[in-house]
Amino acid sequence: MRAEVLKGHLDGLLLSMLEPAPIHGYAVIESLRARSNGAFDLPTGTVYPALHRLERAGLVRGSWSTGPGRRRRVYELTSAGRTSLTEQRVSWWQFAGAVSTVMGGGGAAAWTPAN
Amino acid sequence: MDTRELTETLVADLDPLAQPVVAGYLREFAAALPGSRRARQAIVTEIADGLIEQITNTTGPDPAAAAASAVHAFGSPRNLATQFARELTGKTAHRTGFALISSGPLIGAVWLLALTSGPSSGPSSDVTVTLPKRITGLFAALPLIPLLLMMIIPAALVAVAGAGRVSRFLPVTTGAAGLAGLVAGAGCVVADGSLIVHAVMTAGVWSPLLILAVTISTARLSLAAAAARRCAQLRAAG
Repeated sequence: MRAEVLKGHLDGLLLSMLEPAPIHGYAVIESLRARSNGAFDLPTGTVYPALHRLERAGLVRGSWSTGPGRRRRVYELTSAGRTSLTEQRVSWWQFAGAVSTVMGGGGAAAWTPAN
Repeated sequence: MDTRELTETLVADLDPLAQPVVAGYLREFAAALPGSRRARQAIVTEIADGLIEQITNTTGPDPAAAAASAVHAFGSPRNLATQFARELTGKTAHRTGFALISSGPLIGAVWLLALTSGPSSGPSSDVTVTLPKRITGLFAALPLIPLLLMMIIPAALVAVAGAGRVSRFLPVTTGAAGLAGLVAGAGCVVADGSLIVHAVMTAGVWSPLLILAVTISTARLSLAAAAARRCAQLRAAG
């Protein structure tokens, strides 16, 4: 899938990759590729600046791993990042539900968040 | 550690055939990356880790080809540096704005006390003179200061929005935040310089408070000048 198509959703996708556990930049790319069955194969160079942008906004926190081997920068969600991810999920499901309703010939109902 | 040493250290564990490709990419990336030495080295180290990981995950017998494929996936080093420059601009502007906003009231109060309470400050040293009158008197003596404050304070607030919580709610681009950081820093240099010159020209007797005010302003002037220069450099690179 072309990177431009993902542009508006990149932040949400990156935040969701960091939700289960803190990981380093390349693992974010690999995880995104694996979880999308290869559909989201982002240019590597776009992900690192995007992670720094999320860090600048306070949505993720970066830190250097201190274990053996080479130094690695690991990213984890902040509480603001978790809140943002939840909001982006709701927004996405509402959008996807509406598009499915219109384009899918009524095959999919608009999603409403569970309480 | 300079860039050459850093890149050689970072690629040391790679296959000798892959090392020149990755080291060359990292050197070009580092050369195009603006910002402080520490920030640049941290970013170069992170990108090197990503490149090495990508090469490690590339299957095939030719290490040089795997390295070439990895650097291709990262794209042009100059484009990558430009993207990082934007992030560094936002962070630097935020720090500059935050430092100026938080130091401003304290330094302003020291100057106000120094110029209106000292033995050489004439009638305004009268303790019965109210604070608003003291401020009005000081601004009348230094008309440039209120004008500068009207420029510095909004600019510093915009610069703060270059990163952190505020950046999530205010649609300020990193370029605008960098410009605001530059304006706020440069305005601060002029304001501190004006206050110091005023003190040197008019103070007959140097009270400890006036010495303190001049010392603090001299220090802030240096830091504000460095911050303004850095904002200008990062903004130009991003």
